[in-house]
Amino acid sequence: MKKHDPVHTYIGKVSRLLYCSKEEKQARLQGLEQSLLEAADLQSFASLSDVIAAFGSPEEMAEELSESLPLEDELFQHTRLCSKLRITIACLAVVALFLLIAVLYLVAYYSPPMIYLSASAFCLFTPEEESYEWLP
Amino acid sequence: MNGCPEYLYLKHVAAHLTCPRKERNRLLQQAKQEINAYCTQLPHVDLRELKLKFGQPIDFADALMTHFTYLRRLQFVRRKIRQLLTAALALLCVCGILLFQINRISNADSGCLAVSYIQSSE
Repeated sequence: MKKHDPVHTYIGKVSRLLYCSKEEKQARLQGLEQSLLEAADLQSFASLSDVIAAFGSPEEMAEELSESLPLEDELFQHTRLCSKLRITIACLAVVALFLLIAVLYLVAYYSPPMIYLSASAFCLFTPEEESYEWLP
Repeated sequence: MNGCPEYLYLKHVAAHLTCPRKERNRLLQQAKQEINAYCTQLPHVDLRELKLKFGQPIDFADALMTHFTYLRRLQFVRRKIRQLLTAALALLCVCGILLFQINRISNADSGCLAVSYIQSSE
């Protein structure tokens, strides 16, 4: 069941700012939840701003909770992923450009109505009827 | 200019500056000043020497970004990844639409090829 009291809203906000495994996150948030609930017994938190006034902003709390986390490795991996994505996007942009040129070429090449003239006959192409009218 | 060791070094440093663009430009300017000052003293410096003097680009970038916590940097990179993924998805959709259009045009106007064939065979 989801709880929507200020304490759990605060925990949810902190949770979104933590970058670690699920188990690690759960363990850290459990500790936070306990201390928040203990504090809530002593002074009731009417709103999220009350919790923030007592415990600091979710960003600050997330910083505090992720002090011992290996964020450096995580950051390095994410930065590499970011560079790979940039290369992928550049490749996709080139492919899209070539495809656009191909479409424009095809549109220009097949643009109706087309009248073909030959030495012996005129051929009128009507794409709607998909038939060719041969004129003597 | 693009082949200059200081330019290459700065390019590597820039790849590891994970912060908003405005801040990134400021830090790059700061790094450029530091490196240029060193390069004016030693005009024939190469990339290896720059790495010896200033450290690996990733370490130099870390030193420049001391007032940014890893968590903040990680948040920024994750937001960037989300944006890039959206852009990649949009580009894939565009490619798909264009391929569909090529297929449609080729199929719809394949009759023209027959006419061209008749015309050429005459």
